[in-house]
Amino acid sequence: MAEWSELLAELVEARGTELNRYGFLLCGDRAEGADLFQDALVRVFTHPKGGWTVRDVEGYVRRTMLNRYLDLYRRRHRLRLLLPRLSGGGQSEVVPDHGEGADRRLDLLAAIGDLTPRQRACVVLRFYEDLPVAEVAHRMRLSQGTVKRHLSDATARMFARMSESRPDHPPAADGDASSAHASTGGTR
Amino acid sequence: MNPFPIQDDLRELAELAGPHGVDLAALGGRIRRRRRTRLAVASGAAMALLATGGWLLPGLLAGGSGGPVGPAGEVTVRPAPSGSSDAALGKLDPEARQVVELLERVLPAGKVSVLGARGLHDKGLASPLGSGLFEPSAAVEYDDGHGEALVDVDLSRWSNPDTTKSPFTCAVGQGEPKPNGCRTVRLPGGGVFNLSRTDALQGAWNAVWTGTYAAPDGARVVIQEDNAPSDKGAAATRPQPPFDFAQLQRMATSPAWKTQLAAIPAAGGQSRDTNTPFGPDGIGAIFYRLIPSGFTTSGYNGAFQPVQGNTMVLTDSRGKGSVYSTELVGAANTPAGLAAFRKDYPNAVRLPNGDWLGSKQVAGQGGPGTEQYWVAVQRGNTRIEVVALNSVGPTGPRTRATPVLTIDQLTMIVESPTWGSGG
Repeated sequence: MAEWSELLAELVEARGTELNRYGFLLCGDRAEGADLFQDALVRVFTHPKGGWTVRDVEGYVRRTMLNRYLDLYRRRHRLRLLLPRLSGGGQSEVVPDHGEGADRRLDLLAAIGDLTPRQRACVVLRFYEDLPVAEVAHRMRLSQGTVKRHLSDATARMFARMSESRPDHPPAADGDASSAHASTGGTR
Repeated sequence: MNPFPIQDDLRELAELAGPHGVDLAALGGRIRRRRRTRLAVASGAAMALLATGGWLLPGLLAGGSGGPVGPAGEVTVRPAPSGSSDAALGKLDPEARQVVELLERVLPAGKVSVLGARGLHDKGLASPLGSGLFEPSAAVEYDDGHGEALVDVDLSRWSNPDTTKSPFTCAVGQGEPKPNGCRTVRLPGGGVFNLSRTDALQGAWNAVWTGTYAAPDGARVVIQEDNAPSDKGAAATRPQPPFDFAQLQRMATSPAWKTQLAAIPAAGGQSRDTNTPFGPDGIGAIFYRLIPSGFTTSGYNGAFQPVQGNTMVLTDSRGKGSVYSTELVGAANTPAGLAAFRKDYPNAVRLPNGDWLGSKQVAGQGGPGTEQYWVAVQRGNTRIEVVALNSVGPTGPRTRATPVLTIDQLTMIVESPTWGSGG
């Protein structure tokens, strides 16, 4: 068995589920997320390098997934612009109820679905990947100020959407409205 | 209580993804096929680990496959240096180093470790407020003996500041989060200084205070401080950020910034006009502002796609037609990128400044008489492409005799310095 295929198997076994989740959060659709993940694996392993570790290659796969996601979204958007007949196309996959908390998750899914691709990617990198703004900026090839703006806009929008969806949600006390925003580092 | 625990919710949401479902045998087959194909087509190409810059618009408009013909590769991004101040400074280019040195000059005495910086001419990607040029910034870890704190500064120039909003007032716009504290003072000479304060919430986020000096001429200095050495993932090291209102004001209004601020051209400044028809879309706004006068515009699309492109419909007395713009940042200056450019534009010429410029006229897809004008420039690792049609949409029927912008007008658009100097 070639070295790359052993590494591939090791990566998928160790990190496949996590990377699949990452793809799902980026795309908001399980099938698309899985495609994103596997497409990234193909791209990365088409040019394997000697000496890669699982950790190295996971980083490449994540970066490929992120860039591919942004690229695919742009293409799809462009396609919608140019071929309006497709614009009424497929609806987002309906995520099945997984019990307690499903409503909140669906609200969140809808809320992040409202975000622009860049906002969404920033949110996933920042709050799911738990990266500092500087690293998000590096991965997104944006300035830190721009990332902060994206995060600020995204969290404000998500907060508004989640509040709408959950009328029983405790109203934001003074300062709470800024809570989601706060950790983005404020607006510039 | 954290009323909006994004991180926890995202983790719960991610569980809905289910198991990965990777079929290793099938995937291995795909990889082997792709490797064989790639070896047959090209050798020695740059690692295509990252996204290929796809030019679907050109592909579709030109009747091509729509497949990626653009350059592949990764944008060169300088990683933020870390370590001791001296070592990190040594890794910065001279302009970035200047910004760090200025920040160090205005900081009160303390230990400073450089985290990163961007010089006056370092090109970031366009933001809702500008092209990404002329936005010097620096970030340092600062310790005055009471705990490490992240401090960063951004310098910019606003071409037409909106004095009804922050920092000129503490008004909170609709949908905007309200800070924990805000104060604005009018300064002699017409400037203002504003402190916007987001306090820490234990277990959720650290304190972030932002001081903004807005000069009468549009120059702006923003200094932000945290009560932790990083704005994420670091425990608070002190109850509050290190500098109070007066200290931040003194730092932000320091004459030390004068030279840097003066070097930010008004034409390259950030606009308050983020309400172009493209919304918060830097590239769209640039494109919109470069459209020659004499047209009414409509049919805007492509908002939120600041890297990839935008479209709108221009109308004058001779009819209407669509225009498109795309910008790709990243690896356009690799051999593969240049080869792709020259394939798309066989007549491309190299300009004295090293840019490549190409144009073409092709038949449209909207039936008899439809036509498309294309012009592209490759500048550094950035490729900018604009297209004009004599139809509305690529497959629409002819709506005017010739495309709505001439080759010369398109050339002026792509050659505009407001697109930036590339990566």
